[in-house]
Amino acid sequence: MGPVISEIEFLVQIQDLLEREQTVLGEDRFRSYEEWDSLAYLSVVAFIDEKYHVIIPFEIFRDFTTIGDIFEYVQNNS
Amino acid sequence: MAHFVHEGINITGLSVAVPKKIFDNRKDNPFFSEKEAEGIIKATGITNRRISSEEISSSDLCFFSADSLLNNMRITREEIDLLVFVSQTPDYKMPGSGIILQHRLALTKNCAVFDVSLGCSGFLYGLNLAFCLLSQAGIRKALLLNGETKSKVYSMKDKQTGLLFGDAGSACLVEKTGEPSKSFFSLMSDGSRSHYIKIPSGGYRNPTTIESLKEKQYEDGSIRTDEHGVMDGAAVFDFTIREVPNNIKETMNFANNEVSDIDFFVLHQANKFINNHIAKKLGVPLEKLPYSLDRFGNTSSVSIPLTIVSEISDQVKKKPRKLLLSGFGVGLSWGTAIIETNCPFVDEIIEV
Repeated sequence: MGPVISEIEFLVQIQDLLEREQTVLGEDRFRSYEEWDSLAYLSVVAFIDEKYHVIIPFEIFRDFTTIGDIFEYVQNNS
Repeated sequence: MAHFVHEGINITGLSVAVPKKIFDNRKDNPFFSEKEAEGIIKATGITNRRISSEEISSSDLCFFSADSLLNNMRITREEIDLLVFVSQTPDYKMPGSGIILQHRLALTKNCAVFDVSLGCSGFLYGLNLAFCLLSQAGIRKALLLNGETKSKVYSMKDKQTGLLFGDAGSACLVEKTGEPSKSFFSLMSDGSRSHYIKIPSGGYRNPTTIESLKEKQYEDGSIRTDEHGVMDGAAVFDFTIREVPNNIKETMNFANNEVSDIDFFVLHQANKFINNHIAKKLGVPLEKLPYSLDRFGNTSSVSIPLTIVSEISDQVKKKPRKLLLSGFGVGLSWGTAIIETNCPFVDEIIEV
């Protein structure tokens, strides 16, 4: 396991990436975001690949419902 | 390892034909709302595509490009000893379309001809095959033809694929040049992920039935039959970012090249965001990454020669260039090549 990743930093980065005005919280159900579309999905996976060198498998991402789910996976696999 | 090195063999001519008809992803598909269409354009970069009419097939697109190429380069038909036709949208299940083209192009009977059934990796595989066979003394010149009408494979009412695919055909003249330039190929495959992109019925595993021709509706609102192509976009994205950067890096190592040695990286044209991500991972500056998909869509194996002709034709004609080509997709099948072009003849794009 790599260095500890700050959850706050992660949430801010996701908010910037999605160009979302409202603060992104761990319990947010991201699929209901207005900004959530195909490009948002590609962007999040690509960003995490670039920054944390983790490619979230598509079959695992499918089951994520909250931003916290994404963060937890990155934390456990980077 | 499926690594290949070739020397003294090169592409000396390149020609591409596309249908005249332009399909505007914003306006021309009544099954996508404005918001849905914008979402696809944003996610892929594909704004327009060329769609062939009912009468035009892949082999026609290849005929026009090959015929023009041979005439413009003043190559006599008799000199062609090999024709390889790469397509997954052949005219018939039987016979192969390459042989029909042998006749249409008035090549001699002393010509070896066959079809290769590959999609997005098809230019890499086809080019390598032509290069391999050209090492034989008996093969003086070869025509590599790549042709696809994938717009006819997918349902217009499929939310994942209805706006992606365009049609095109290309002809490459490949011959022995005796020049010292080397080319390097690395080819890969993975049948465990073969279900990511497929046409479920209409072959011999699941033959056509009344059921397979019926339209079915899916959870995302897509409507298609089992005889239409189906693609799992998220799965293909996963495969691409997982495998392609590694294949490219591995090919560059094998060829002893750095990013700075390569003039252009011509990647299969499926998704602009994904290609940009691959480039970023490899440290490739965006000016070395040409795009044609905004105007032509995803043309399967033709996307690599099409991008060379539509985007970097002048640069390639003017002086020797080192190109890295990478194709990836259906199969799953993928491959990368590093070739050094030496001012080949490049036709203007032909519209049919």
